Amino acid sequence: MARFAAYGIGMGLVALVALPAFDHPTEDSYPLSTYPMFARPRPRPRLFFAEGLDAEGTRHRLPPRLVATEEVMQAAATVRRAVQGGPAAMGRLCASIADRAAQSAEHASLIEIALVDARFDPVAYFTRGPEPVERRVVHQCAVGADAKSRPRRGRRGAP
Amino acid sequence: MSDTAPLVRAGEEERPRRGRAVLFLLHALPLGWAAASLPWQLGSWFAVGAGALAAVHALTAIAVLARASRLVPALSRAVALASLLFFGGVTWVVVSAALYLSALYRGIGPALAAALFCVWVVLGVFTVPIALVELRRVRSPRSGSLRARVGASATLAILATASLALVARSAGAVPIAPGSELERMEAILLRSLDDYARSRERRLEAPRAPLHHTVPARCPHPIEPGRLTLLASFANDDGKAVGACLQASSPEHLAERLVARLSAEASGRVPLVKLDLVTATHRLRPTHPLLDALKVRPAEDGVCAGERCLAPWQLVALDAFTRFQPFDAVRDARFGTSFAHLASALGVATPEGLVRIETRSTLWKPGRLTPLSRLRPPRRALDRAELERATANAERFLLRLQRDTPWFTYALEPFSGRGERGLGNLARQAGTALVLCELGRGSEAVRAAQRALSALTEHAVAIGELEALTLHPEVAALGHSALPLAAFATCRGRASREAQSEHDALLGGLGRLLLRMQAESGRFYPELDVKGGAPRGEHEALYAAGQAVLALVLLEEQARLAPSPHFPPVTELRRAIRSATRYYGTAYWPAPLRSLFFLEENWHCLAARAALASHADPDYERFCFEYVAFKGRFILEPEARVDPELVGGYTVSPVFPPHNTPTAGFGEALAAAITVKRARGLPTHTDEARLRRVLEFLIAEQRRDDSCFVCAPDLDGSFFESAASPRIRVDYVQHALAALGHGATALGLR
Repeated sequence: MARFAAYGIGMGLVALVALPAFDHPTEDSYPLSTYPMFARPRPRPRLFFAEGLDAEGTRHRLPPRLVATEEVMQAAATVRRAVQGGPAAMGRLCASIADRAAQSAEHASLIEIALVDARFDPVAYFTRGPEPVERRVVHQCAVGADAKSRPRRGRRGAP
Repeated sequence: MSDTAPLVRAGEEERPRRGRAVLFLLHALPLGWAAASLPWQLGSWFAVGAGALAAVHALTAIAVLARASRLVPALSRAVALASLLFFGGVTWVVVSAALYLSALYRGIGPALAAALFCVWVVLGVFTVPIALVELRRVRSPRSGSLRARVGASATLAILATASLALVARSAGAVPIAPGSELERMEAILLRSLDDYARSRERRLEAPRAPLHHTVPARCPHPIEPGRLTLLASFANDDGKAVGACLQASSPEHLAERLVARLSAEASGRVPLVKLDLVTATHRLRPTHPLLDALKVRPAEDGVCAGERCLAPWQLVALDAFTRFQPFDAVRDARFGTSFAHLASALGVATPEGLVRIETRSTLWKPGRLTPLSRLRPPRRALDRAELERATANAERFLLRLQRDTPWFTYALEPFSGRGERGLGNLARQAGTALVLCELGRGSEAVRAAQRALSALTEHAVAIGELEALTLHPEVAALGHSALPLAAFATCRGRASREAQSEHDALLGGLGRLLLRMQAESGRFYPELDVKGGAPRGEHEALYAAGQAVLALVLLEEQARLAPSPHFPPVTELRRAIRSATRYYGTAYWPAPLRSLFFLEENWHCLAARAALASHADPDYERFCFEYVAFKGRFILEPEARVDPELVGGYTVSPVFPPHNTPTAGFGEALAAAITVKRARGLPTHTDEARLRRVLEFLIAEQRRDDSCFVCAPDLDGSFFESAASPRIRVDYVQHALAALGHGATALGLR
């Protein structure tokens, strides 16, 4: 009898834990969870960022303080808003980044700033590296006194 | 378990059962994963130890699978001994870390012990049981008598205890200037400096020139006991901040050298002088990066390498306390110091020979030596005048952030005063306007708030009869409209009759948006599709739901007191408020969770207070009471035996300096909870005592022109993020002003 109760309780607990797996992934609850973060397909977020190019064509991710602020999220929002604001807004942001880059000894090698519209695979970001799965340069401007700004209509493509 | 009945004796060649391999594999896999993946750098003792143990387990599993009966007993013994050795090593490191940090940071004991105990127990599960089982299985006749084994164990225990006592002792710094002598030394310094100032007969340089510089001072000799060392910073004749390291065998000689240095480099004017008298030193020896990150205390300790020294405040200015990065993949997850960065800042090649210094920090101007603790003067007891001054200064600072444009400057770098502008953060702009309309003393504050809100209207998007404020062309976030609506409604209540209706159409549209974003259950959707006008999202937007309840309560109040045809019907607003308070007071956060944790729910407390007269809901109010009771656990109390200067601050552990905005946010929520409790006839004595401590902490943390020696002009009334993070942001000041103003009201001091 005791063995029967032990098996019953043990199997019952296992069944309870497994039960949410047969429910819809969005029907999450406490304390038994469907673990929706693992049950759903993971989207590939589209992000905007600024990068610098040196004379050899090597791309450098720029720190947020060069974009607008010390804060990562606020800098990302600033780039996104500029891209959504169109060529004039992108031109203004690109020029201000180029100005700051020109004054930064750390970024003396940069000759061009680019605003990039990219799509990332979050898992690949951490397992393979921070390169996007798709990227498109939407605006470019030169660093330095003869800085010129130009919008890009490049196709979205692999990095 | 019988002491005389081993299952298999060493040397016996019984063929092992293959099923036992599973046991070893179950240990090899997690240990191997821990060695490779845990945030300890590769090559560390933990990674090597866990990796080796995983390898022994794997080898044993292979031997068992191969039924290598001669090999298995030896490998089993190796597994047992390696497990015990590794567990013993980890135990030693864990206990020594706890002792070291307990000596360094007062009051840390229980929290740190609990955290380390959790790590220790998990490791124990993978080492101790298997070691005991395998030892028993292969016990050899040569293992000795019970008495011999007990004797060996006792010897080991005594040795471990003695070595840990030595570790604890070594955590303390070596004193240089005895504590009893410090006051006499400071009196000598003050007298000499005052004599020097009188001899100059020049006016004091205005303390507005910041003494910020990050160049290490060069001392004549390395710092050591028997030699007094003073780090001094002042502005030279060119107005440039410079540092000096002065050394002498007596306080009188030290004072002479300081005066001589000032006379030589600041001959024209009597400068403000920042002094750091070195009181103790401690050699920094690398043990583990996680522990090393905490070995230098933010804003309390400086660091030297040979003759080069950086004062405690210089490490803060160098942002030295966000340098340890435990996860390579998450570059922004950083805390504490890195020895490599400290060496680099000091201009030396390697971290070998780094020395932590403790200092007595003071600021001199003629006739006065002000003691400083973590870059600011010591706290004072809370009174009406202090609260009044702090509140007024915070308000004036916010008004200065809006000089040339309706947008408040988003953030400031305090050393240069350089601002981050034009970032268009809707929530922080609205939050600042809200607090100015709630607590602003005069018409200037209300006008500034109204200008700020007018700037938000450029981001208004019409969605049918709804209005949303959004920075995104496709999505309207709940918080981006809810908090501005709360601010618009509050400022409408303070506007003149003529100006009152200026934004009524927008208020009405925002109100309808919130009604649209409310689900049948009473909860709010986190966002709305701008094109389709449909709400969406399953998650709760942090902060935004409480802001939405507050906004609806304030809008309903305006609709009652000064109706507008643009507003949604009052009955509809009331129904929505009832539905929301019912949901957030009950189903939103289940009872079992409430004793464990809450998220950020300050705004619900503010909404409960606003709803007190018109939409009181006992469950919603209880949710607020339970929330502040939970959050109160993070407020440092006097019983925690921490530095009294930290009492009232909000932090997860005294290892990390309390942050001002979470402290202020808690103060806001607690002030609201006190008001609600008082209205319900509930006791508030404990809450009031806690609120007083929170406000005392905040007032001490507020920057003042006369003591913020590193600050650019016009930062009077502002707040840093924390003592270790000298960034100023508009919402740090906004929340602090709200806590001070509403706290003063709750305590009857306003």
